[in-house]
Amino acid sequence: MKKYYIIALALLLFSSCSDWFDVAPKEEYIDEEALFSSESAFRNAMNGIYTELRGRDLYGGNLTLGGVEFMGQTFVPDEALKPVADFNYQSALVQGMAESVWEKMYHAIYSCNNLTRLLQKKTDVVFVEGSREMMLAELKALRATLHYELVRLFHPQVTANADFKGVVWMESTTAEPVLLSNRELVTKIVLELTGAIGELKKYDPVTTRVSYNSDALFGTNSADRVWKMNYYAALGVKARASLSLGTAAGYTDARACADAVIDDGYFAFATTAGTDLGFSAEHLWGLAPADTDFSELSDELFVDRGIVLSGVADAVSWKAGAADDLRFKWLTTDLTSMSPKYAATSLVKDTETPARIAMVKLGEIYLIAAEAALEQNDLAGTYGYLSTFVTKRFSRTTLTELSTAEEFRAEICTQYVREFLGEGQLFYAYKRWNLSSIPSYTGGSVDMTNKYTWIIPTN
Amino acid sequence: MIKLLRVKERKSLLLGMLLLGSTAVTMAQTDSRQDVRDSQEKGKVWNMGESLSGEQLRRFHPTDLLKALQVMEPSLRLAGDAELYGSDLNYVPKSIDIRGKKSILGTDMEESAMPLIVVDGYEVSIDRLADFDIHRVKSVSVLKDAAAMAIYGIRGGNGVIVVTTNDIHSGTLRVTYRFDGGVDMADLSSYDLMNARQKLALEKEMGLYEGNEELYQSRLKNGNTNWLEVPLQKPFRHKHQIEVEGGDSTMLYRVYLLATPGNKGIMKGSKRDHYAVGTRLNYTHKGLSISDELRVDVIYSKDSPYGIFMNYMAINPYYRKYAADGVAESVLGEGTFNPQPSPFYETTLSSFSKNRATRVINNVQAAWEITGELTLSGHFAFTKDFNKQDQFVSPKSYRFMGLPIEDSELAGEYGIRRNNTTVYEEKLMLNYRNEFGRHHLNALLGIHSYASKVYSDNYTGVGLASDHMNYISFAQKYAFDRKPGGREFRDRLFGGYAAASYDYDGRYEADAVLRVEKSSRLAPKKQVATSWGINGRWNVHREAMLSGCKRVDRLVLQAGVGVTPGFQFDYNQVNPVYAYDIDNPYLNGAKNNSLGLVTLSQVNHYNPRLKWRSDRNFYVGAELSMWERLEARVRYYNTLSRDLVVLKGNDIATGFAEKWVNDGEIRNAGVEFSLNAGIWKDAEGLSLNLLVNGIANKNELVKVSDYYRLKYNAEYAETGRQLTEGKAVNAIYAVKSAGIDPATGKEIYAGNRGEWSAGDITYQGDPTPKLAGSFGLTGTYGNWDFNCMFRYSFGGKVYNQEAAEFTDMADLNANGPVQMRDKWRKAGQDAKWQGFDNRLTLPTSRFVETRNILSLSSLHVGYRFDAALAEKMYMTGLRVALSCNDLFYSSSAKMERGLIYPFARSFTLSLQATF
Repeated sequence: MKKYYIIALALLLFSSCSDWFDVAPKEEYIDEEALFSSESAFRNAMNGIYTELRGRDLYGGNLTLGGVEFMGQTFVPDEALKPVADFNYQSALVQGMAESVWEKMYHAIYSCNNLTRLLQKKTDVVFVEGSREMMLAELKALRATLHYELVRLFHPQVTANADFKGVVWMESTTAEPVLLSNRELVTKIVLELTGAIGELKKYDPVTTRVSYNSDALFGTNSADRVWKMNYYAALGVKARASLSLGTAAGYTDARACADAVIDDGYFAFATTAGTDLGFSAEHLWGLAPADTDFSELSDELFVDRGIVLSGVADAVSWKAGAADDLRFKWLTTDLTSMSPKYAATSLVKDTETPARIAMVKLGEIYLIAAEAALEQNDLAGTYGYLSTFVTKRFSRTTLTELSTAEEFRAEICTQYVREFLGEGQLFYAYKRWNLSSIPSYTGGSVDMTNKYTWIIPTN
Repeated sequence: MIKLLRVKERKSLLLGMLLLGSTAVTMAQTDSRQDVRDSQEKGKVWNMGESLSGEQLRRFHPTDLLKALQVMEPSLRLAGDAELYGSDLNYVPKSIDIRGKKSILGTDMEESAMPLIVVDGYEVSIDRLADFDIHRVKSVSVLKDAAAMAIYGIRGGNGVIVVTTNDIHSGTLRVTYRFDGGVDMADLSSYDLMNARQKLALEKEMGLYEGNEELYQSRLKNGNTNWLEVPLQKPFRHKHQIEVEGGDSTMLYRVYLLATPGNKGIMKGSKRDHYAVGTRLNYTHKGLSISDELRVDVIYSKDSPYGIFMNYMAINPYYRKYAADGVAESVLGEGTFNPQPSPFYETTLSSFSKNRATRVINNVQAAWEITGELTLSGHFAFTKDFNKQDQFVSPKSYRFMGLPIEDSELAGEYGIRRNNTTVYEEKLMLNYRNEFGRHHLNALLGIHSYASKVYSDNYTGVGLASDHMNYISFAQKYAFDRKPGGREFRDRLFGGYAAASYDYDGRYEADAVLRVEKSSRLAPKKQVATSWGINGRWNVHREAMLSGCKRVDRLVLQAGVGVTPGFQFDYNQVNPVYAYDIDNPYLNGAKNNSLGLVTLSQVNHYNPRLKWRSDRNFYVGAELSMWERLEARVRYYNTLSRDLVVLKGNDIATGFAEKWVNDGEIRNAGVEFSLNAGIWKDAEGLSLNLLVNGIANKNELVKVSDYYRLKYNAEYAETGRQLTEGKAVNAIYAVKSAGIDPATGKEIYAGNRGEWSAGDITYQGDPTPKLAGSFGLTGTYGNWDFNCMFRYSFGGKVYNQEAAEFTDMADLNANGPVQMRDKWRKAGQDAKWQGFDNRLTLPTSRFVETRNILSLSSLHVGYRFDAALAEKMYMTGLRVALSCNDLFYSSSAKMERGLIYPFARSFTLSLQATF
């Protein structure tokens, strides 16, 4: 029998030269390896995330003036926006909004996870001392916030239905979506925020007052931090989320976060308006609109389409009761339209740029503190927060230290209506209180059974 | 597949290895020396296994290798736009399908399915194959089945064309001069346009001259100008080649010179002048052989200033080239109701489009016979191609006449595009051969490395004030909104392979190949591809039972199976890429951040685990030679291409609504056959052979993800393309037509309410022909040889887009085919074509036709002078031949051919003199 030779397989001579195969073409777009080799790319990518958020599909429209605000019933919608104000979730308009918000918000979450992945992968890149840690913490807080924004829309209130499942948690770019129950998800979000806050406190220029600006690297002066998720904004979002948990621990947390913001004294209420009708000094975090895009939306609604305030804001009796309230600067002199607040002439004080889209405001912090104190049965505390708030607003209230819990609750509700005109926060407050019916733009009231939850788009 | 070489043949092996290089695949020729000798008998034309000899190819076309190859290899189909570019000298096919489409239409890779082209063991680009000097070719093999392709790996995923160039003849110095010269004439048989009288009559009947009798009369006086002839010429082209070679058993040399100084095309002004110089040196000493080949090619080419041929179809025949004063007008019929920009005017300016290419290649090969059984060989090839294209559009061109005064400085345009390719390719092989009694074994172990870098840049300047300022230096500024562009692309591959071939007694053969490689073009998480193939062969004619049989000379049965990979996606489908959004900064113009906060974001979705295309192939085939006259080959193949890239819907929570996945399958199955029958042989030396070959391929889209199918169908409905599982991937779809309404002249459709609707689109036919190939006669008579070859294709369907475009959507103000006269004109008329107001014809079954093609591709006669006669002329050999190619073309679907550049009938006289 002749011997046959068995042919051996060729051995792969691939040694450490696997880099030899990593070649990216150079065309109009840039590959990851080449791009993320210096800090500026990371900062620019971070800007990219905020640019996604301020688009018309998210905070530049759907989640504020162009959508959710009408759910609060504070404005009388025209034909085009009626389905939103009527909670008509089957309508093409609202379905389209839900799809856009769901898609774009998750894309922003993906971008956060992607940038986190890059920061963790590219350990050899030289960063300004502290900048990397700040960005990682900022992304962590931002991701939790974006998930919470989805929860605020697509979930019922935690206390109403703790087991509801819908919004999924995306831990990383490659992770499987994690489906948690309503309460578990909000708890997880609060936990993520706590971790992020701890890091941000150490590295965020807004607390350390040390900027990470360097040649050609901008945007990290402590004054500039309000344009992005920062330590105080994270505290604010944590306060919001903890408040909605409806547990004693939640209220304690919420009040503690609010106190941390208030006591640090970094922010102050606006005393005069000047051209800064958005009161940007009060913003803990606001998004830069796309040039004049938000003003254009505002003009389109209030000037071109003639959208007016509804009876919910009750501007006339409000003016009668508190004529000096600074917030009247937002309204036209006849108290019907809100066109001045975001008009092209309304400019952010220091930077002279178009009015910010507010994400977290000092006013909300005070109101959260008041509500938390109220839930803890600390009426004195509630009065303290409310009275300070009202005073700073140059407004008036009928409350005294001896007012009842019901009266405090009513006042908080009134202040929510007034403080957040055009900002889309009122709807969330109603949802948190799980009111069975809310005052409608028509003058009557609307039954809110099954109307609080946006419908999650099917793929 | 790998065949064995007898140990006795080892002496010529080394030389063979040097010249053929790389793999055992290219070394194998026949299974006996007897056959080798027989086939070199003068005049006898054999297909040796799968390889075609250069001699044969030259008889089917004297100058164009690709055309000659298509006659003998019906499975090669050039890209769709080959029909548009006709005889354009500067055209290079963008894709060549072998046996059928393997990608789902709509994805980028569909446009560039190109087989691997290997010349003497190293890879060359399709540009080089298009310019390849057919005289250098010794043989060509087209590898289509996995068993043969596997050794070439993923770069050979679309098939392999293996070209082997001529051996160097040893001996005293030998000079060979080859001349190919001839004349080309345009083939306009597919055009039938109206002449001036007909067009004017049509216009008059349609009432365009109401109240304007004067214009009608003046146009009548202009006579007829056949605008299709305006851009054409009958060029005389000539090609000269000189080879000087010689040497002995130690040293062989060859010097090669090529010049085609007058290579013009049938459109005036188009040319492609090719000059080349090459040297080859072989050195052999004891067990070591080294050879080096160096070639430099320089090509100067120009495109015709007459532009696109199709434009001349539209010019009204009552317009003349020159105005009454002898000057070419820029607008014909200015001031009338149908002015037309004159393409002839453009040729009077100094606009041009030219290209200069320089190609250098150096290939070093070496082989070392370590022992009688073991040989180590390798090669190193270095290629550098450099290309520069200049395009100048004169400021006086019609294109700039509409510019407002303030932009008049932007007239004139000069664009430059440069392209640079550098390739390094290396192979190293260890070959073991031995025989033990009746067993023969041949084993091969090799590694292969390929690295290429392609970079290009381009920019356009405008503002060249005069017709004479024809260089980039005269441009005032960059073209508005056309930024400079460029691309840099690297392609790297490293692989190893093992092959083994076993032969028992010359009767039973088996071989197997396995190759593993890593390529930079694959996805980062799936960068290593595997290919393998197994082949078996039974030489039945060697069996005792048949060896006495006088009738059967050869009977071979073979079968093979294997899996080969293929490239199918781009870098940005498997890697994240980003782009700056300069116009959308996060914070702009703020006091502290005067530059704004720049936005950077990811612009694609990607799948780092995307897999290559995997082709599973098996074939069975038989070869039969009988009566020393008949040779038939038939092969059945079945290739299933799996893991095709398509889109799939994705959970939006991941950040993207769609994802690239491997979820498509296409099957190409069919039969290929070829027959060479000696039908006449007489004592006077006349012998005639009948050659027939053909392929019947069936293409089927086996599987595609529903998400992608629906998305694709919605997007491409109005172009007549759809995807349906079970039908051909490039099938034709349209809405069934119910004819033309005699009352309105508009088309009625068989669907709902007679209107066109994407939902009514149905399958109309498969463009793949039922049978296609060539047939013809070849013969010899004494010193004469001749052939007459036809190409045929029958049974495929085609959507007659030309008829739809030029007749159904015809513009009455312009010229067109004579069928325009049969368009609908008034109510009650039963017309074949819609009325003149029709501007858009959506896909309709009315234009789906069967396309049966018959063309006379080659008519050739050659004469070889006797040695004695040649010596009288101081030559050792002289051959003369006359070839006529592409003489006629007939198709059952009447469609204009060569719309961008017409087809040509060519007549070539070839001469080969050896001194």
